[in-house]
Amino acid sequence: MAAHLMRPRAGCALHGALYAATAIDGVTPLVHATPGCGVQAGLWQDVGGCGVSWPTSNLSEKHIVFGGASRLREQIKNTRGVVSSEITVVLTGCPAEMIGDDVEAMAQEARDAGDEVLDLATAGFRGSAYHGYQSFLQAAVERTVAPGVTRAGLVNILGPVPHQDATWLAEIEELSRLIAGVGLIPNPIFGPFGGLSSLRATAQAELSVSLSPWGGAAVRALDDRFGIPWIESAGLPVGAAATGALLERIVAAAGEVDDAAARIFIDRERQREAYFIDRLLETLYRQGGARSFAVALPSLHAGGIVRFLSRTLGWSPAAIVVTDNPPAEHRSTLEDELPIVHYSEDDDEIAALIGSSGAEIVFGSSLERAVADRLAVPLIECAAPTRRLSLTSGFGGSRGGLTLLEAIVTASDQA
Amino acid sequence: MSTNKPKHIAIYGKGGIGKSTTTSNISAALAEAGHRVIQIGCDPKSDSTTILRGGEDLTTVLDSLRDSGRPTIADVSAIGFGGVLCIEAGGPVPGVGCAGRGINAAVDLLHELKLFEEFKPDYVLYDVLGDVVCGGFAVPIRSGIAESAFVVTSSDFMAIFAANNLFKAISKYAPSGGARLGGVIANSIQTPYASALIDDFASRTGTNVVGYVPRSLTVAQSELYGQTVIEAAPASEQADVYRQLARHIAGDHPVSIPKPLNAPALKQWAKQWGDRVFGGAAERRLAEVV
Repeated sequence: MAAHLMRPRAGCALHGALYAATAIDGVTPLVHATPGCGVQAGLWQDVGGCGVSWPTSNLSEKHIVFGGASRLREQIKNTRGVVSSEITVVLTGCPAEMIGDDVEAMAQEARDAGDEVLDLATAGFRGSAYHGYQSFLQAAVERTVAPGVTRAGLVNILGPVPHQDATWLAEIEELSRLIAGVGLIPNPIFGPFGGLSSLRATAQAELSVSLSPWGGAAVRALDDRFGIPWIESAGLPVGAAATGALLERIVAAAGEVDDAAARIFIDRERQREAYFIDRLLETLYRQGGARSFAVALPSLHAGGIVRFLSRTLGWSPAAIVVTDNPPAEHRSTLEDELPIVHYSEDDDEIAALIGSSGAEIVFGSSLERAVADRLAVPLIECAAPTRRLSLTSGFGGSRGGLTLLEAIVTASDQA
Repeated sequence: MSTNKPKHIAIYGKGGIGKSTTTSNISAALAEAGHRVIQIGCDPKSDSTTILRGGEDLTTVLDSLRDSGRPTIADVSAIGFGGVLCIEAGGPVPGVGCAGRGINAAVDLLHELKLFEEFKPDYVLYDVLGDVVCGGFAVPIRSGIAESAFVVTSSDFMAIFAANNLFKAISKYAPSGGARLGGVIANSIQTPYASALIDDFASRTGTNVVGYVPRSLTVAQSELYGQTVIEAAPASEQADVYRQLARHIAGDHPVSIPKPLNAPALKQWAKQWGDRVFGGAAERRLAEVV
């Protein structure tokens, strides 16, 4: 039975696929939907957003009644003529799929004419932005990536959802830094050092790392097609301990690495974190010492932040809510050694869980502001929607743990 | 010219059951009685008003929207027998687009063009594809369009099934201001049990049969000439059947919210009628043959 969902934190599948395609240089998304579908995707990204400028077929009532396929044919041609890119990805919204436009035939026509055009069904009713990211990546791997010679040490990074996960690029960049630190070559796919060549190189990697359940389908597709082994992490590692553990798994799985050099790098990351925590111990004690906390975060961040707060700081989780409804088969990985985990996308339910937890500090999105105010406790915004601009500072990796500490100490001081 | 508020009536029925023939003959009978009538075909096949217009071509509202963007009433209407204003909503080519949304868009446009204020009809008849396949085809019975709806059915199970679906739509929309059910028009009556079967269905679903239209060669002959029976054979008994129906619809007919049967109940009801008409042994014989 369908139920109402109050104030969801993620856009629709079209949005997730659109954000992902936008974050790869050389890929041009083409929105085959009504104008509002693309505008909504852009408006969702208020702070540090991705703009609202996408090619679109701008379906109107006329196209809904009579079909929008010929409009799409024209738009594919115009887009290819105006925007220089190698791959055009046609992303369909609900109206186009409900009226049954034969999008595949239009894309095939363009392919027959020698253009690289990928068509992808991303109607909102297929799921959230997370599902859209997952579908896009899987289709990209299965339909645009060709086999190639393996490049020693290349590691694919998947999982953070561009623009939907608040600090997605900072997380990818930190993971890239860490992977490079242990002597491997990061393949980020998205962002300034990603791009189409990086997407195509996924087939040449030695290993794939999925940092959230949403990278799972793509790493499996890479395994099925090209035999690339993969590691599924229980979300982003936060802090030096979890980061070191993940890096050790990566090093063990990646083949030829200078183990001694990798160990030195991992130790230096731990040493750096220990230095800062030592300096902050008195402040943390003065601010209340060990506290009970609540988190309402997507699966990329939830587990890692809870483990950092519990294991590194010695705090106690009062409520853990995972807000992106990850697929059931990934939940046991996420829950690794965590106490009771709730799953909810519904704002009312999330607020009730946090509100009744008695937490002394809340980690969530700006939507948790009301419940944090009611509890009269600090709120650390680490998930979308948020007005905290994050260009370079995420919460993952060893640097992310320190960013989280900065935020905790600053917010507690102001409280 | 009428100064009364026009009466909007929707007539539904399974495709091919004779609803356009019935609606056109009712329109013709109303026009013959001196009323101003508009008949709007709400079926992508666009053949509702053919026998009012001698089979002439008519640009549909949606064709006109597709080609010129902003049509006038004159672009999308034709005057048929007895002055009936004929309009076809039309639809996309089969297999493309959304015909349901098309009906919606066509009805909206007719309102925007102030069709009813300009033509000042006494009666507006909507002839609608009756399977109510999606929300678009329920537009005429939603709030603010038609006040009452009739359903044309034969004694065939699939026609009854479609009627039951319409009842579901009416019972959904009626409480929030949608059309009420005026009753059932029993069409193509030729077997002895047909009337009794349709009567029974009507009574079980909380409505009644408002007319019985016998299967008639006069209708088939008239259609071959592109005419209604009222026009082609005005003195025939069949014409009087339609006139009587028209008088009922034009009058202050009672309306109700039907109580549709659920799927198992409908199947059980059909099976009981199978036993009653063909005898319980028929099913056993069929099983032996298979």
